[in-house]
Amino acid sequence: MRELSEEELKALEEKLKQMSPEELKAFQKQQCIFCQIVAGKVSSRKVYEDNVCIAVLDINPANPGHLLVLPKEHYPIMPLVPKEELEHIGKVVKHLSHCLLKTLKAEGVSIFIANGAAAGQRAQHFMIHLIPRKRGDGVGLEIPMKEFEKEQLAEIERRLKEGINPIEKENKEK
Amino acid sequence: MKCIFCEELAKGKELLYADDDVAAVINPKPAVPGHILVFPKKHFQIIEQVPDKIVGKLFNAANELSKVVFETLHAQGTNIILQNGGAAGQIVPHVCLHVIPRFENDGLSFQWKPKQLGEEEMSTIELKIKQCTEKIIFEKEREKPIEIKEEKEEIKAEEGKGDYLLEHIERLP
Repeated sequence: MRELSEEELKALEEKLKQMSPEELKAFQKQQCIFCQIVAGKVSSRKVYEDNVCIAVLDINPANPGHLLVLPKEHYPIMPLVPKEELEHIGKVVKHLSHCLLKTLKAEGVSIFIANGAAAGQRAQHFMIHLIPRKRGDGVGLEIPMKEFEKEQLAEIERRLKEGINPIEKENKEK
Repeated sequence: MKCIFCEELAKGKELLYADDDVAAVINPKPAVPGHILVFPKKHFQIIEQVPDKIVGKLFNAANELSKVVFETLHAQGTNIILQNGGAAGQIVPHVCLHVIPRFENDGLSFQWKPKQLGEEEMSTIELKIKQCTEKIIFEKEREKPIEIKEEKEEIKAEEGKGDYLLEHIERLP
């Protein structure tokens, strides 16, 4: 793909500003490689499909059998995925993990989600990675355990609890 | 087996979030302050043992808590990680989703080096996995509370399934 000139970029920016949210979503979808994979316009090695999501082999795998689970609908980040779809995708992830353990004799599976560039997200389409693991495979993904000042942790806890109250309320009302 | 999650729950540890099946606590030894652990209240070692309905609730709770992390801590990103099995870095024998707030320059990195596989190897793997996914059957969800008789049967089935699965996964310390 050629790079856009400065003028073309400006024209594109203007066009994006004038779009309605629906038009913008359609535009993003059109530009998204994973939407094209879902639509079958770009070839992939698809190992699972249902009404909500598909699973394909990652072409740049951390280990053989590395899967990407993608909702068929275009959601740039996880917070935008509706509850029912996310719950379904979670169940699919469980069953796919089982398949990786069974068929590839994996000794474990790393299930990984990145939300936002700071978390390592590169694609503009929400996805869940499943990486089959063996001991000493060098993939990494260890989660460090660090010590922090008690005051700092207490302040963070206070802020989180303030933010949680609305969810608890919502769930109790159901 | 001794499980710190079950012990803390039994002791009545203060929870950040809880519903009938799922609980969340703040990790006292976080990767980043605000690191949350989301787990089923019942003891399951690996995700394959957790009933479908609770798996759905776990992912939903992790997403809701990740939203709270974005809003209250003004995180620039979040990682949600499930280390399923010892080889995946799991150190506690209880299924647990990590919700980790991320900031630019927070010193964390969850990146892997891509491997180059031949077309033939990719095709073999594709076929093997596909043959397995064709047999996926989701558990039926019950709207109403389970009758006691039915529940006993369900637990028995789960235990049997768990033993079978655990043969395929490296034992946890």
